[in-house]
Amino acid sequence: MRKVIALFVGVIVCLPVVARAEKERKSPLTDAPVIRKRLELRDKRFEFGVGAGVTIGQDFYNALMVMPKLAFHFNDWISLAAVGGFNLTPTWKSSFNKDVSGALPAPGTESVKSPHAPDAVATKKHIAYALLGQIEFIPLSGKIAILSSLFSYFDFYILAGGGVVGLAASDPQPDACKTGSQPSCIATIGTKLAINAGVGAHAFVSRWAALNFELHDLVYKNNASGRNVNGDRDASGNNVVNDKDLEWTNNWVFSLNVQFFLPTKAKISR
Amino acid sequence: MKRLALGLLVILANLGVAKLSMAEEPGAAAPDTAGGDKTPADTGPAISPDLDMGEIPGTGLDETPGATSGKKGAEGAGAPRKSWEDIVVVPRKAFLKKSRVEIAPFTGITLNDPLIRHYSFGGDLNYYITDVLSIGLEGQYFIKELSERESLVGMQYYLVPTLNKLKYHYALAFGYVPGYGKFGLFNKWIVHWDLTVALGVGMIRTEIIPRAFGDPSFTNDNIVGHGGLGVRLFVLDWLTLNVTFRDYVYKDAFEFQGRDSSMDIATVKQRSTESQTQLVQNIMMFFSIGLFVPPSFTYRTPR
Repeated sequence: MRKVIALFVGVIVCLPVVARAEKERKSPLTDAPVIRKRLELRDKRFEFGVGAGVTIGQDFYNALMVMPKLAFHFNDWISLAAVGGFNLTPTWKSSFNKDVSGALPAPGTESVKSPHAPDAVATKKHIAYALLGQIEFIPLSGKIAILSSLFSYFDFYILAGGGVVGLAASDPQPDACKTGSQPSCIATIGTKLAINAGVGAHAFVSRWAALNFELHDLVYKNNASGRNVNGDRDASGNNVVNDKDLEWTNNWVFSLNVQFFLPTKAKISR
Repeated sequence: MKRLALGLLVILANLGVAKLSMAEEPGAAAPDTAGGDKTPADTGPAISPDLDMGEIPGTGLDETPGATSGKKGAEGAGAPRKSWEDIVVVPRKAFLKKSRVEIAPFTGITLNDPLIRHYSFGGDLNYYITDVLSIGLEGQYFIKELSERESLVGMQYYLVPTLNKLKYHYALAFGYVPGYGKFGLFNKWIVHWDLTVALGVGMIRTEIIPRAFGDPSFTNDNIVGHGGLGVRLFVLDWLTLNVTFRDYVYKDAFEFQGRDSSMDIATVKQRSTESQTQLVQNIMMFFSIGLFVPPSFTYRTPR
């Protein structure tokens, strides 16, 4: 009986100690987030604002666009956004466009094969507008010190989605293009489906306002010059331009927006 | 009776172990430690016990009143206890560059010319005078590639573009780091990075691509200035990954309009220089790996 009592008492005393030792072996950092008390500047917040965007590397016409943006952040990592872009400068020629136009013969002058400058310019296309939807994935967020005195929260994200791009030309089919049974040059204008991919960043100036940088690659089928691309010719040897001349093109747009967040107060993580 | 004594011995031994483990438990030893409900992610790098004061030359315990002296000191009798004063607001930088040399091989690509693209291979050699100021040398060699747009110009407009290709470039460059920061990756890892701006001046050699196939070409040696903006990610004490954008600006002479194939190349160069000189901007993007020498660094300040 004494043996049983001694064993019972021993077990009763030992059990909590063993349990405590087991508990102590588990680090309190297990499963802890790397940053605690983190400002969740996006979680379940609406984001809206407007800014300016500019195309990069367009063949013939650059575009300066006004770009409104509306987004909802489902959590701190994922958001859904709608972006618009409306060209304010449809006649802003690239330097390459100026060089080509400058080298082409003027109207009324003799030309062996080169098109006259106004005819060439007429079918060159520019972006009129873009309407885009995108999902934003935000894996990176942190803060930065500028000159060791200004501190800002920021995030980086990648975006992907789709949309439509409106293309326009000053004269889609000038008379000079109507040479044979099929046009020798024609600008296929109108609305095109586009793939939208890119990267972006927020630099927060307060808990409810941020600068928003985005770089979009709009991928769509286009023939920017409206002229022969694939070399097809008719029986008379004239250039033939049709949908077969359309090619997938990359069209870069960089934008800078001022965005506001609602509700104005941000959550703080555990 | 022996068994009873044995049972009591087990009980006493367990109680002793329990007492010892409680004595070693940080929370029990210093219940009023600052950030008691914080994880070391909040306080880890900042709490003094993680700061080895011995690595700071000339810094003794008596010189830092209020600061704890590491684990040994904390355990000693009469040693100052850890408190909120031991938590620094801004922890030390994760990476120091002062008095170190950076060797950075890079590869780059031109971005803004629709007719001709250049791939670049080269390197930077920078010496950091301070943690934010550097002086260095830059050199690169270019390989050209004509774009599809270049070939279409001939078919669509019956024109041959006037182009120059880049040969090589070298420069003296000054760098400044206006900002640095850190970000959380999926809230699991912390990555440190900084922002670099650079200005440089050097020489670039270019060569004309004659419009008429087979015509001789000439080269130009142009003074070039550049400005740059880059981001550096710190991977190890001696390794960084860098992305940089640079804008090179220079005056270049192109093959003049109306060149006659019978002209000697010296005349062509002279007339091109007189009549066909243009200001050129080449915007380039570079990826580089920064290798720092010496491969490690020592903090000079306590915080």
